Amino acid sequence: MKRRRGSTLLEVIALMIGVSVMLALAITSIQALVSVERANRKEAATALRVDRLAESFRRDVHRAKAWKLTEIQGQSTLTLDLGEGRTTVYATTPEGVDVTSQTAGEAPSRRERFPMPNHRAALSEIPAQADAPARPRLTIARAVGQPDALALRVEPIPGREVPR
Amino acid sequence: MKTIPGPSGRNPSRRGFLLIEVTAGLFVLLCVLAMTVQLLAWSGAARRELRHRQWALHEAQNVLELVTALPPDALKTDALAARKLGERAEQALPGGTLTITAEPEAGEFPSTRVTVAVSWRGRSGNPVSPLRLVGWVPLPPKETTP
Repeated sequence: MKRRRGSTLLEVIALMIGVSVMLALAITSIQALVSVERANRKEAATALRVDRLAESFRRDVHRAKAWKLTEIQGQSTLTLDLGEGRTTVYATTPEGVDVTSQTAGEAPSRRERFPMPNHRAALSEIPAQADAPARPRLTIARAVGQPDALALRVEPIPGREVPR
Repeated sequence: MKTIPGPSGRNPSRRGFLLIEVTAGLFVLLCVLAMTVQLLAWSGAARRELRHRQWALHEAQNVLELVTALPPDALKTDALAARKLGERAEQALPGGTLTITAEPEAGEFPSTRVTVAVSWRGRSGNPVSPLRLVGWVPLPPKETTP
């Protein structure tokens, strides 16, 4: 009675079950790695963007001789008076922050948009205190689910570098 | 001696060879999975570290602006030591500390050098190497005796 060399069906089935379990684990871990890598890259890009907006805000507020915060339909606008009819306006929009610089009566000399996807920028005012002057504040928070405490706050003092 | 055929065909006399193969493969994969999970955790910690650093940088800039706007006689290290990061900092920066030092500096324009240092608890639980910003406040020129 000859015994054929080969595998029984049960052995093959057991092998296939084992291989599919291994494949499932491998695919899951690779997917997780890829998504984490993508999220990290997006976060790094966002950090750069946020820093750029904060620097621009600080610089422009330092140059301002006077400032005024207004609120139109839920969007806040900060008007910085640079003297001699020149103004720089920071306006929060659903997409991010729009900056416009212009001299009264002329076309804007600078118009820039800082897109803030997934973030929410807000302008507010810090009243003067005993050892600190009144100043505007730019708050940048993650739009979804971030508690206020974690939001970045940029609080420059106006008039530090007014060109003479 | 009975001959049991197995899928490898090479060693038909060993029973249960298939089970050993699959178990070994699963074991190797579990090791790889453990390493992947560690990598993911490390990646998340790095991201959190970046967020903390950014928050600390902006807070340090705010503090430096406030301190350098003070009148020069208010710039004594003991008076400045009373300044804290604020209540929000406990949530944003675990174990966050603020250190402000003021030192006189001579030179062409005598000034007070102010250093703002922010540190917090890092990944390993130890304080990270502090983030430092430096500013100068010029001292008012000495009055000449008439």
